Amino acid sequence: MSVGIVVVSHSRALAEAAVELALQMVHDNVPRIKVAAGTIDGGLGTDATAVASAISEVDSGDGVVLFVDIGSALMSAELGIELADRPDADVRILPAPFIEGLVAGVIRASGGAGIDEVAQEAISALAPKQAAVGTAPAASPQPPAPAPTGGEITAEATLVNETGLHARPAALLVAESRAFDATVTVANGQAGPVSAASSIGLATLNARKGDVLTLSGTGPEAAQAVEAIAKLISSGFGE
Amino acid sequence: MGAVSTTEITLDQLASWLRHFSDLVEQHKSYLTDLDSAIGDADHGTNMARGAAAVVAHLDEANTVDALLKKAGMTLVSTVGGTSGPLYGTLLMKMGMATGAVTTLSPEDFSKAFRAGLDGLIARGKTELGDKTMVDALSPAIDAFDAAVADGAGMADAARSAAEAAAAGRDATTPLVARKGRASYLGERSAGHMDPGATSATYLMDALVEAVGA
Repeated sequence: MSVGIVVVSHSRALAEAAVELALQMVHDNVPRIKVAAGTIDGGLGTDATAVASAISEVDSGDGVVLFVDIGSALMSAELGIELADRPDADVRILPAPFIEGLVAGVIRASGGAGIDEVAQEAISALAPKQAAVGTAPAASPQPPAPAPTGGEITAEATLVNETGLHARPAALLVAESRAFDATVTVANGQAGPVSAASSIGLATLNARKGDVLTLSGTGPEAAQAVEAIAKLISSGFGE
Repeated sequence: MGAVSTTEITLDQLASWLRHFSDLVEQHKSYLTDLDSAIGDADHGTNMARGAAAVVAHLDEANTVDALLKKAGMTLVSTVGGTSGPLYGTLLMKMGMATGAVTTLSPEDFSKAFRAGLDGLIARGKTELGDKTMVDALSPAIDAFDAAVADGAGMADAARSAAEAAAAGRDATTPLVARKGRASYLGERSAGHMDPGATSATYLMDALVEAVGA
């Protein structure tokens, strides 16, 4: 069971490529994801009846999020929700960037997160780009990680990947963190701490090769979680 | 088959209405696309022609007015591709929901249903009069239709009044600055161009004249 995902686009090629890009980040527990894109004759356009079918196909009771591209995609998504006629389902159109939001949402959904978390992650997905290019968002979209309260398990690990903590290793780190009954945060010097369960949060750390990441965990399995994540980082994420 | 009452619109005439609409859109496909290329994404003509042709292919399946209109609306939703699909589709679907399973409509029934459809379209598009959209043609059209019926006009004369008002509303979109859709990205530059949606909406009223005319 996981949050279902529907990708609404004018272009089938665009939607399928975006899904391919997002699925590259996840390996297990791939969420239910469907494309509703293009016109019946293969042209550019959106189709509310296709959106409705896609919603019904991916809804497994944990809610459905819709990513939309431009123009009529929004109106077709709104009408598609009505046509799907699932009053008990939590179906949301996300005000998220199309590509970044989809990637972040897929990673979070594959980790088994609930719809609120998936939505929040997707909506925040422009933050790393905004931070990197110097246009910081008005307010931090990430909920602040809890301050150390004592009793937490900490560890440090050095990032060895040539390209730093990019999206694929970040997705592996998210998956690892969710495997334990623990809350783990990651900091990179002055950056963070951010939740280890948030690929978007991890991206804002701007962690590069040679950076020493500080892990901090609380909860029943904090020790195992921190150890496993530290090992994953030190091993270069299998790259 | 007896003489068709001039005060009612039959199932066959409603089917004829949509057939004429498809013909008009097909004839003016390039013109609609040209209008759209000035202020939009240059697909209104081809989108509407594809959708209206798909509607015609299903017209013989319905035995009641509500089934005909709902099927036509749903077909537009699934075949047009652009924003016009959900908008025209909502207009016809909500019309169908308002009529019930009948085989004829009085002018009052038609007006009531059309207004229900237009309300649905306006809610879907979050549009107001003067936003440079199809509403600028459809809203004055149904007002003129009602005024004609109140003056004792039959279906044919009321339809003619509606088409004239739609054309006037369409022409009045030219100086407007678009506030909805792709055209609104252009801001002031959208002024000076006739709205493609208001233009195709005028064909819908012209088609009604052809369907119910003597």
